[in-house]
Amino acid sequence: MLFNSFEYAIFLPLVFIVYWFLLNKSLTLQNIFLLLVSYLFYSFWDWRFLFLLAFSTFLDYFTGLRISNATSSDKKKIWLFISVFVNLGFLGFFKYYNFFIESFAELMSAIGLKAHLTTLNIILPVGISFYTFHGLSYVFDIYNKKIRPTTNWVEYALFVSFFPLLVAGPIERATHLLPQVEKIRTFDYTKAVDGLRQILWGLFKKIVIADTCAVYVNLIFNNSESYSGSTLILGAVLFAFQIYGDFSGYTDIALGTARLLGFELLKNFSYPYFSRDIAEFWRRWHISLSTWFRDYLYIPLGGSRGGMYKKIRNTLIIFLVSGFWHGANWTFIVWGLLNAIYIMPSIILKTNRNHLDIVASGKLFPSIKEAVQLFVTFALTTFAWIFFRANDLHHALSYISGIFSYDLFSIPFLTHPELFKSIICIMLIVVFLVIEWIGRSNKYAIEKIGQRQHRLVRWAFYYAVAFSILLSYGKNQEFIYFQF
Amino acid sequence: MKKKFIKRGTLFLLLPFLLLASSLFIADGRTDPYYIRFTTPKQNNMIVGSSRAAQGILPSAIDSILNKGGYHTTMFNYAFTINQSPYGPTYYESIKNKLNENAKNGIFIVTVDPWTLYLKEEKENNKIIFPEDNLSLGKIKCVDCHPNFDYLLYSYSSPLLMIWMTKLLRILNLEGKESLYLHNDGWLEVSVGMDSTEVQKRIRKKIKDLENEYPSAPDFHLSSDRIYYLNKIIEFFRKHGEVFLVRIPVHEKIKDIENKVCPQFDSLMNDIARKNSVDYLNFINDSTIYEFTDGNHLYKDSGHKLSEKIGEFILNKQLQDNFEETMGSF
Repeated sequence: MLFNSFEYAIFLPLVFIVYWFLLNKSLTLQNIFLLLVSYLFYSFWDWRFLFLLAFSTFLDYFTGLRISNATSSDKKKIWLFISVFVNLGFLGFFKYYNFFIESFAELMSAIGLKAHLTTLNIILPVGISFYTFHGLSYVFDIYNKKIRPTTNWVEYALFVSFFPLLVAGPIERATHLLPQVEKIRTFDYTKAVDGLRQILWGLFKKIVIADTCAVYVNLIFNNSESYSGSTLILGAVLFAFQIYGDFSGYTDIALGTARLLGFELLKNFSYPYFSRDIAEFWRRWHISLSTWFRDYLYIPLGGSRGGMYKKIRNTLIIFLVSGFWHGANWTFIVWGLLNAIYIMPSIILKTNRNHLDIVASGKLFPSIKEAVQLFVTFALTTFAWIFFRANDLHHALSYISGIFSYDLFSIPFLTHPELFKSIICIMLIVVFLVIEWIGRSNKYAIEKIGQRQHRLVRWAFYYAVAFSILLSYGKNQEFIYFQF
Repeated sequence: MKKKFIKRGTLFLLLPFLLLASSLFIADGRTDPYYIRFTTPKQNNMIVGSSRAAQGILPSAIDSILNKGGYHTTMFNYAFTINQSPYGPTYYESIKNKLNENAKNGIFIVTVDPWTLYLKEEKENNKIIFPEDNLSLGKIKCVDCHPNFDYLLYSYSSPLLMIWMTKLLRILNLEGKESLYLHNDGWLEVSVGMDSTEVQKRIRKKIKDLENEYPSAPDFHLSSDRIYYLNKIIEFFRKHGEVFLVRIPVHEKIKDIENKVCPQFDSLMNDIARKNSVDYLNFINDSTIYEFTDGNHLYKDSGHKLSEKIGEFILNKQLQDNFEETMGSF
């Protein structure tokens, strides 16, 4: 079930009413109910994969208990290994099997050998990368004695499969979400309104920004060989907003939904396109994944301890792994590598923590220096997105070479009349950026917009947002991050 | 507090909800070129084919000719577009759904051209891919539901609010001069400027589109899979009445392209007609007596003229059959 579907528009109010009005007296019943509706939510995609989800949940629950009860460190390690091996085994099989087979065959043919290997027609279970990482974080935290394992299977299963975060995150930590599952939740009017507001904003980002951009992005990327250099730049810029609107829109809906039900999920985005350097960008983009890799990969590898060489090596590793996590394609690996290259100067010069606060805090406009920094960071990021969006490496490289053609300085709309309507898309992006800029100090852009004004003014603004959604709402478009 | 939240939330969402919900009920022939065809009851007589038939054959014109001859038929145009309704399993199933299973003595017009029988050969797991499977005709199971929520929610390609917007534009008389109107009998009325420069421009574009989308001779081949389904549809219709295979006229330039990519088309259609004991009405050489909006589609007045011709042929055939039947009984 998609967050932007009619099914969800019926599903969520029903869940809300049953949860708060019928089951509000019993935490256990509320949790069982949420678990059941989470499984129902997932089954809308493919009920057969519920067994995989249930198995993965049971495995981590069981190994968590075993690690905690193990009498020796060797036994702990064995149970940890079992959990990691099986979890990553499933992930590897469903997500990476064909990639490894094809890459191996290509390597063989490059050295003149023929490998007759067959690939499988495998369905990638939606959300597998996300719920695998949920489970792994739980097992790692138990192993590292950060938490004690829960003995309540329902609570643990709900932590893994809570429907707002099940298919595309944020990647939660047991230390953050499990205590909320275990605690009695009381209805809070202000938080519920806040949740609804964030859902509205998420839908705007997804339907008005991302889906509108998607039309032109697909047109340009799918016919990149016939477009001018300037048009290809337009395609890349629109994709930058498409992916941001798509993924952060999804996250806003997830966070808003969770808040309606009394939960607070981890923040996943914090205005990444208002970053002054790449290090800041990565502190603001897909935060739950970056911190996951930091805590469970970068730090165990030694982190920044052990000298500059290790620091560079570890940074390179987490960016490559992060790229690979996104998908079984060399384009994602190059995207990760490119970002690693971007961030290296600031790692070496130790300037990677220069910008910890939001840009131009308390000011209306950024300084010229900040504006240049924002532009350069956005340009670098957008360039890397070309690899993320391209079908394969060859496509990405031909797209980039197409940019640097003689018609780089032509006007896209004049040379390609079919793109004329994309002006509307650009205008929408400008409005969106203005709102995001105004609200950049808040959890999400419209959190406090109109709070001091009369309710009528506030509602007029919300209605404007709602109607722009309705005017853009066509066929349900899937969220990009469902495939990861 | 919970009740207050529900009250205010409902109040806020009421207007958008009412607008969305009402748009499902006000959808009509102006909504899009397909919707009405999925809302009318199951039919006893049918016209099938691509957009050439959708725009070029007027059920009302055929009905009026047949009515004059004492036959009370209600024809229905169930033709869509070249992408939606080429002959294949999707169209076959949809036609089966749309036809009243108790229909008897029906009249069925099956329009043909090389493009509705073309298929770019692609296979997945050794199964032929018919691209139309994933379009609305392949997805809509209920073809006689009114209102058709299934279609509006999952196949309608514009935002639902556009249904209201289109209605408002019409009420305020702000509609552009080019418009589409899908009549209740399934005929798609297309109103466009018929100034000769505009028409020539559209013909040039159509020719360019055909050249871009289809291979040229000698690489163009009719698909045996599509021909198989054309035969199946004819066989199916024959169980419920009389079938007429029709080739609609097109502009000379497009006719030349069709003759070039598929010179054997008419002889193949004659074979199919003979094999199935149906008539083949070939109007392809009548280009000069009709007007076209873009070379590929008949202008509405010409569509009327052609439909009357088809109606007259059917009427004569019916009268002749009746005469032979009556004579036979003596």
